[in-house]
This record gives sequence, structure tokens and C-alpha cells, in this order.
Amino acid sequence: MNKRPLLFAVDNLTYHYLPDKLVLESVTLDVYQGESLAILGANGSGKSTLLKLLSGLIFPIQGQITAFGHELTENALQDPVFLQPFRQKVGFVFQNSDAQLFSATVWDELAFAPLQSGLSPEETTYRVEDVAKLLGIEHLLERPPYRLSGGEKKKVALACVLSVNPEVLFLDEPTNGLDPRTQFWLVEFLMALKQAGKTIITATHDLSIVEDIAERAIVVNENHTLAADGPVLQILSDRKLLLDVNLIHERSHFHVGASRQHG
Amino acid sequence: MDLPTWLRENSPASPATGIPSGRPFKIKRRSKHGFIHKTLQDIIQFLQDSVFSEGVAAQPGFLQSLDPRVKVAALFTLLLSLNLIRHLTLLWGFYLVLLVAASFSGLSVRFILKKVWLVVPLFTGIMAIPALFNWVRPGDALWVLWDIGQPLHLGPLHLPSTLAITWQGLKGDILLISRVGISVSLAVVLTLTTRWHDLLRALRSFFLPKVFVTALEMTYRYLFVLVTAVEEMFLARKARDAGFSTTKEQRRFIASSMAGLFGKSHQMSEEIYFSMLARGYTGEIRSVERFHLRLFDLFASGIVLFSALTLYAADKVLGE
Ligand SMILES: Nc1ncnc2c1ncn2[C@@H]1O[C@H](COP(=O)(O)OP(=O)(O)OP(=O)(O)O)[C@@H](O)[C@H]1O
Ligand SMILES: [Mg+2]
Repeated sequence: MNKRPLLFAVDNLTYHYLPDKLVLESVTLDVYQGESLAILGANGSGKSTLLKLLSGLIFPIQGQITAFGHELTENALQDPVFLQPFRQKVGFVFQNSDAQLFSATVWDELAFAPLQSGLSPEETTYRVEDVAKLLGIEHLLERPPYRLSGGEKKKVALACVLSVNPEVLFLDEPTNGLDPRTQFWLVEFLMALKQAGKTIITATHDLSIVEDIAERAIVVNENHTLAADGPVLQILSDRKLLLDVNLIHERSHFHVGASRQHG
Repeated sequence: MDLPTWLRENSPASPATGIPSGRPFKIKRRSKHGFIHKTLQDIIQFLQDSVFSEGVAAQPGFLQSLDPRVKVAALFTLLLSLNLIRHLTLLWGFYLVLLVAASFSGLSVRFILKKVWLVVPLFTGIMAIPALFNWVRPGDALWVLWDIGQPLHLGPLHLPSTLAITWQGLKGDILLISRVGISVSLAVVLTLTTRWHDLLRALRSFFLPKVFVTALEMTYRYLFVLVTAVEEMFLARKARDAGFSTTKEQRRFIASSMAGLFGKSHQMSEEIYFSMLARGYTGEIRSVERFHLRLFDLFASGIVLFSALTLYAADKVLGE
């Protein structure tokens, strides 16, 4: 696996929003092309923050992040020569769809990223229609995003990131608010993207989907350090670890393979 | 997990809050229509109103099918000519045509009439009252209100001996109110038959700068999200309200929920900004023009221009 090119290298990363209240501490992590990685952790452990750091929306207090061979700093991202391809290659589906969707119609929403990345209006139109068909949201194209249901919003949020065809996809709690059928559809969809060679990094505490959408998992502790990093099955079968980081409860019946048996 | 004892059993009906089986309560009834209840109603009303207008704009219909740019251009042309003509028959004739077109497009004529004529006479009418009187605008007396007997001299001011409503004043006021009301109706019909964002786009293709339009679009969109948030906050409170809170408590709740909303909108603006950044926003927004001018639109523009000119010409021909 390690013969694949290195996409992200995180070295001894530390971050806080408010001084004296660390949200991530000494995190070291490598992500290779084509990998599917799950970031596991209890509420408030810092998963969303880690994704924001990796996608260059916020910047480390200490340590460094290298992406596509360049150090990811505020200054580096000022340079359009680095910024534009970086934004095109990295897609981010946010935890809160309401904040993710800001355009007047779904159509504009899907067209936003392709246009920003410099695609022509004709190509963009083509992309928009293609992605809408792929996700089955053609009938929503003329609607304003804020009048959609939670699940529809999630699909649109995914579509508006896919329309620019990113190589790396960050997903923050993608199954939140989805009904079981749509959840299943999403998992299958992510598996197809994985097959197509995309790198997929998912932050979640929905353990039932993890083994399907990821080969590798990292676990963030409640004291905001990395507790584990390894193949997904190994991590999911380590009951003591999951208990220690408060991901499962002593009496919860979670076990590996659950989703296969019941899904 | 050990639940505390009080949680393990159902609460007995306390003397203060128990619901007696016989006679109905007085206090409860009153607070039901309290401050919170009203605010909640207003919010829901606001939501329904905006859903309503967007609903009509999305229906198929004659006015809805026109290109928004044509509609905006037509609005300005017609406004210009309406405010140049002085014959009431022409004005009201045009109004009739407008209402017919609106009702053909599925709009409720009653709604338009109510929205315009309940408000316009009030505001414009009050401003126009002074012009009715001969002391402000000399003319032929129609109705003498007050006779002092001799002309009045107040410093440099010379007033005639009677205070009267004049013919000219009355005609002028009716013309003014008609013009304003009909112009407002025109704008109401335009906004009811055009979706908000199409309207903004159309304005942009004439003169509004892009950044301004985008900001307006986002404002509208987040207004909606925030209104929904408010509704949820109020409903959450209502669900926990036994009906005994005083107006003072309710007011305090409104104040603190406003503060909460402020925090929420601040956080949301940060998240939106991140989401824009993540999709390649660098300070400039690119967009695709998706309007298609059809032959029918050109035809409609021709008709509008022709009518505007005809109205103006007819007014000149009819003379004073
Ligand atoms: N904008 C912010 N300002 C201050 N503190 C913040 C901010 N965003 C997050 N935090 C804090 O940082 C910590 C980590 O937050 P983060 O959103 O990364 O957690 P998470 O692992 O994604 O949690 P969840 O599973 O609930 O989504 C939390 O303790 C949170 O209170
Ligand atoms: Mg999170």
C-alpha cells in the first residue's frame, strides 16, 4: 500500500480554538493516494477540526501539514498556482448541510465549484446535469436548497462537491440524518468512488458503516491525541480501545461484521 | 444506570399545576395568547407568505413564462409612462389590463387589491392631505370648511379668508394616489410572478453589481435558515411551557433567544465562508447566465414598449 504516492503528511500537529484548550495534540499521520480512511472519535474529540486542517481552511498552531508535496500554510494558499488545483483536488462535504449550501438554487450550487475551478459555462452545464443524474436529484435542480429535506440536502451537498471531480474527498458525518435506505445507498456510492481510485477520508462515529467505507481507521482520543492507527478490522475488533475512547458503551452490542449481517 | 427516585415515578399532580377536572382555568387561557404565542404565529405567517409567493412564481402561467429581464425592462418602461400621463381613465384602463393579465397568470386579484389599496392610500394619502386645501395650493373652492371673514396675515404669510378643499387639489391627490397605487401594483405583480433569485439576476444583467446580487441572495437564503431556527427555539420552549410564564419571563426569553440567534448566525457565517473557500472561492464569483430570450419574449417587449408609447401619446392627444 505504501508504494502509492503520499498525499498528506501531518507532522506533530497541534491546534486550539481558544488558548489553553487544545483540540488536537501531537497528531502525526500519513495519507496515501487511493486510501480510504475513517477518522473515529467521540463527540468533541476533534474530528471535524482535523478535516478542516487537512483541507487548508484553518492552519496548525504547531507542527505542519504537507499536501501534494507542498506545505499547507496560509501563505502557500495565497498563491493561485497552488490554490486553484488544490481546491479542485480536495472536496469537503460538511457536517452541517445548511452551511454547506449557500446558492440560490440547486443548479447554481452544483455549478459553483466547476466555475470557480475555471471550467467553461458549457462544460459546467454538462457537469451539473451529469452529477444530478448520477445522484438522482434532477427534479431538485430549480429548487432553492433551503427548502429541501435533510436527506435531500445531504445529497445536494455531496453532488456540489463531486461536480468538480475531486481526487480527495473529505466527508464529515456523511450518514447523519439519512434514512436507512439512503444510508445504504451512500455506502455503495462511496464504495464505487473508492473503486474509481478516489481517496476518501470520513469522520464519523457511525461504526456500522466504517468497515464498508474504509480500509484504514484512526481513532482520536477524548484528550485529543491519536489513540490508534491501523487496518479497519483490527481497530473495530479492539473492544477495549473503543471503550477507552468512549466510542462504545460497555453494554453496547457492537461487533465487527454487524452491518453485513443485518444490512 | 441508576435513575434518581423522582425520575423513576410519575409526578403527582401538584396543587399549582394540576389540571382540575371540573371548571376550566382562567389563567391558562390568557397566557395561551401571550407574547410568545403571538411571535410564533408571526414567524409562521412570514414563512407561509414567502412560500406562497414563490409558489405562484413557480406555477406555469403567462407572466411567469416571460424572461425576467423582459419583465424588469417592462416594469421600468411602464413606470415611466404611468408617471407621465395625467388622465385617470388611461391610468385605470391600464390597471384593468394589468389585473386581467395577473388573473390569467393564476394570481389572486383579491390578494393584489388588498396588498396595495389597504396600504397605499394610508401612506400616500396622508402626505397628500395638505395639497387638498386652498391655503397650500390655490384653486376653485369645492367645499368651504372655515370662514374667518377677512384675509389672514401672519408675518410674511398671506392666507385667503376661507379655508377650503379645492377641485384642483382633489384631482391632483386622486391622480397621485392612483399613480402610486398602480405603480406599486405593477411591482407587486412582477415580484409575485418572478422568483426572487431570477429577479435579482435580471437586475444584475441591467445594472446591479454581481457582488451585491450574491450578497442579497445569501441574505435571503440565511434569513430563511434563521427564521426556521427561531421557530424551532420557540417551539422547543412552547413544548416545555406549562402556561404559567409571565409576560416578563417571556420577554426575557425573547431577549436571550435573540442573543443565541446572534451567536448562531455568527457561527454560520463562518461555516459558509469555509464552505465557499473549500469549493474554490477566491473573492470573485463566477456564474452562468441561464436566461434564454425567446421569440415570444421579444414579442412581449414589443407590445410593452408599444403600449407605453401609446399611453403617453393618448394622454397628449386628450390634452388637459
Ligand atoms: N469554532 C469553534 N470555536 C471554539 N471551539 C470550538 C469551535 N469548533 C469546535 N470547537 C471545540 O473543539 C472541540 C472539537 O470540535 P470538533 O467539531 O472538531 O469535534 P468532533 O470530533 O467533530 O465532534 P462531533 O462528533 O460532535 O462532530 C470541541 O470541544 C468543540 O467544543
Ligand atoms: Mg464533527
